[in-house]
Amino acid sequence: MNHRRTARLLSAYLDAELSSEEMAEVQGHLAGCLDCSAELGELRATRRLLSSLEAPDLPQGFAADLQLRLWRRAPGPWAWLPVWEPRPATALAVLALVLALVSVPAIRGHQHRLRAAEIGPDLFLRRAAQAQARDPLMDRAFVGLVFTDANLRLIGEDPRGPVR
Amino acid sequence: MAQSKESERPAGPQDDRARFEALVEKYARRVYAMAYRMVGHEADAKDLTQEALIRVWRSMPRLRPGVPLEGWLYRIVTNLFIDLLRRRRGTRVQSLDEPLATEAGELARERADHSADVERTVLGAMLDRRVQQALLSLQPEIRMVVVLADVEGYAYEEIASMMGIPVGTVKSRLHRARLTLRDHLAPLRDSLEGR
Repeated sequence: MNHRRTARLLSAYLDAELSSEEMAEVQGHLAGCLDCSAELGELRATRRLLSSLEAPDLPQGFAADLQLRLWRRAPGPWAWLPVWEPRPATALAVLALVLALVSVPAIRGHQHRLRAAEIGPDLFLRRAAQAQARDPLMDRAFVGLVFTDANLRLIGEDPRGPVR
Repeated sequence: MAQSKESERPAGPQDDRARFEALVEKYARRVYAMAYRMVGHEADAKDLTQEALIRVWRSMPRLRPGVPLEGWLYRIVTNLFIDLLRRRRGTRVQSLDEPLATEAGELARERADHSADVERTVLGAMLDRRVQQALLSLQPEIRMVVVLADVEGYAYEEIASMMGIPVGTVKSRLHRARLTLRDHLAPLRDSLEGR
């Protein structure tokens, strides 16, 4: 077995987690390789250090705290439902969506009213009909009706002079 | 779980609760020890352990009876530890040079009751701190393997099933972990051997 392969297997060799053939091969290599023997010694000492660590005791009040946290989200008959946890990002996103859904039509409506006041309701209606006429899915007859209606009103207002 | 009171609890399957309490009774300390070695800090370890146990409790109703509890518990715990530590990596970075002064104090205080030998206590705390610092230098998924193998003493096969990874991955991660730890701990090993 070559040196590099053995080096990779040293940890598993140390834990006796290799097949019997591999164990024998590594053992054979170790007998003639000082570097690998030294590395094995270091790994063994490292493992010993780690296993000498003492298990810490549970902190004071662990059980009581756990109970408290469990009560806070205690599952009742609805345990199968997803647990409601505070998700600020999601809440913000939902809030923004609701605001947009409410405010966009409100602002556009306001803008339309302002525009209508500015140019007069009939011309505004005529332009709206013009804009709608560009929509291929729009009912042509309806657009035509609105158009004609707006034109007639515009003509009807002719005595008062041209619309601003 | 001695503090629990029957009346405080909303209706839930009683056998689930009994199983959960037995589980906590039996494994909480071990899970906490694993968490402690993963984060190196008492408060964080407590938090992590409780979060893991709460998840276990929440998935209790979905657990089919007859499934070995221990393996299932460790599967949740190990994955959660790795997941949380990975996510937290950006926020809490523990420097290797940073002296864990409070921890040494805590350890010395904890162990003073058990051991009258002050010198051994101080030495043990120092050793613990150094090894812990070295552990914290590893990636969470690698750290988990070495904690399970060398601190907790599980076999490769057990670790593979706990973490849901192939035995070959356990083998390679453990070897990488030990090589890194060997380098970090070389001065400590030398000083111990020279003693």
